[in-house]
Amino acid sequence: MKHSFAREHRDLIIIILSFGFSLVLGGVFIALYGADPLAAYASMIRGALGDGDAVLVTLARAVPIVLATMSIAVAFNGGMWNIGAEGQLFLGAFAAAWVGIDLGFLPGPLLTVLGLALGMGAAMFWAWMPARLSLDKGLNIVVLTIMCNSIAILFTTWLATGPYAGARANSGTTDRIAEAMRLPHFHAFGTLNWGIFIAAAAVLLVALWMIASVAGYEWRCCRMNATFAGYAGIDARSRRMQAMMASAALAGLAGALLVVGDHYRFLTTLSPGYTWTGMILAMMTADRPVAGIAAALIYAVMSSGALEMELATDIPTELVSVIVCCAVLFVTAGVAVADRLANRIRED
Amino acid sequence: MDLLRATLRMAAPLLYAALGGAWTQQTGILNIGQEGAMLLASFFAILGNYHLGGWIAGVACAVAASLAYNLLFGLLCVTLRSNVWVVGMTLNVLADNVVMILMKYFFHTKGGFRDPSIVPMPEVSLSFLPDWLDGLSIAVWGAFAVLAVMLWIDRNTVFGMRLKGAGNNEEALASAGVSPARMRYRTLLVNGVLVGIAGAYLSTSYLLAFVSGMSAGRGWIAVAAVIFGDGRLGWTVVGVFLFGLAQAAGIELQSHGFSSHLTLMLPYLLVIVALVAKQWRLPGRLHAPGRKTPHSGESHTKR
Repeated sequence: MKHSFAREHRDLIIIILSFGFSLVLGGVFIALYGADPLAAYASMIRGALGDGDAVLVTLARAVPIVLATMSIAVAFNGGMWNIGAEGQLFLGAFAAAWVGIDLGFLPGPLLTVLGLALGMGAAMFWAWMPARLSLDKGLNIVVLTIMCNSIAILFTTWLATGPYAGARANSGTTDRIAEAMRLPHFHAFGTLNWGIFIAAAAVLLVALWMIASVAGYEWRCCRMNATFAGYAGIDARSRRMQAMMASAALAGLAGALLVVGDHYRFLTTLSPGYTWTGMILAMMTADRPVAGIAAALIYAVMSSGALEMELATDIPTELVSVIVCCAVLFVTAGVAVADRLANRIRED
Repeated sequence: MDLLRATLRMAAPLLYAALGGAWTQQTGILNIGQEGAMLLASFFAILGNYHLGGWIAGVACAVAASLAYNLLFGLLCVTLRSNVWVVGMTLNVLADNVVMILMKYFFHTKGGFRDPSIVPMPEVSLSFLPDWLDGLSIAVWGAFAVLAVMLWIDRNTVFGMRLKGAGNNEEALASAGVSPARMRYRTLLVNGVLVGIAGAYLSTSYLLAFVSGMSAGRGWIAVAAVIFGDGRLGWTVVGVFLFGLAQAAGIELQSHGFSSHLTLMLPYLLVIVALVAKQWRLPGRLHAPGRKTPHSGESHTKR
């Protein structure tokens, strides 16, 4: 086959081209804003990777984004539209903070482990309910998880402003967690901490699970066609539930690490929409684990540097999200067009 | 009576979005981009109102923005047949960020915008109306007018039948000489106008300001109402008023000393309860055989 390389890696090529095209589009937008696109992008890179401290800040920023991307990718890859990761992240974060506040008398390492475990558990519980209703009762999981998001965020906000409000009342933060529970920061400027290794291990584990295990193969089958997967002898229901649980665990871990590693307390402004970003990135890379991790790292660099860009050129940081959203639209459109072209060629 | 009045004010934007969404659902597209469209429209209503002067300019800008958004949705989902979930969610996030950028560009702020020169949409006050109906925004009454017109079209016209044809059996519709894709575009345009008005109502009548994230899940509640009604207007409207009542009751309870964070949960909880109750009572109704939804296959993410 002459075009076998292009055919085999078709989706990946489309993803890369789409992303490149969106960057150009972003450049046009920057020019419309009255700034020099190349200089703006350069200031972005400089802001994110300019010196050692900047790199560490960027890495700290990458942790929740990579976790969120992987969380969404594993769910979507298993055919479960878990739009509720944001709520799961908030519940996981609060659960970890609760351990650090109310169980602070326990010995240190146990506290940390318990906090992370409970955070993941709370998130998984919150994902289990809509997943069950969707798998067994046929309810629409997107609407269910969206509603669960709102409920979880309002609930944790109530906890953090009511019963668990910190000494600085009404600021939407709890008290700080027990000293022994905290993961120490690597340097004074940023919040990078040991959590990055925990996150990396979790992400690699799930990525391997997706790529190289029977479960991963069966998840992909469920995504393509859950009914057919059932005919082929796959227990689609439990596989899809498994994908949802893995997704929630990662979202909960992201929230718990933000509390145990970064802020040392629960804040109502804990997440500026990490899982929405993760969702966009997962969709851009068609739920591929390795591509998703790469995209999340690139995004972390861009969004970390965007602050520098906003200072230098007054272009809002949101531009980065817009660029990635456009890339998603290009990818879906591109794949749809490529599919139809392929069908047409086959029919001819 | 105050609660009833508050319910009407709450239900109006939901009604617009749910009615528009119900029609797109009938043609086989579950439009999950409503949240983003509503937010975008709210912003453009303020923009038009402030810069061009007058509420009509605001509504026109809002409708134009929402139409553009829905056309983009149509281009991707109808013409290119991309996955509706991916496109819908991406457009929601995109709208959120685009609004932030435009806020910064036009108003040099990222939080919210309020100005005394913003003209509110007129209120209908007639002497014979009882107190609780008097002085409601024209958009609230408009919602009921739209409801009546759409109910009539839905039941009594060829257009109404073709909508269902596009969703239930597009081959049959195509062999009758009507393009299903064109029907889908038409419903998306209707939806665009309606959601535009809903957004304009939020920012230039209900609040008289733009606050980031001000659509606050209303687009999603409208989507839930559409799913609750499975595209049928009657049940969708029942859902809308149920959820509107929950929102109104949530705010009412706040004045009785309950925490606002807890009472704001009410509509979201009710949506879940309502969807579960409906599914229990009518098993399999939502996924009735014969209803082909080629572009909204619920769990297939084939790309």
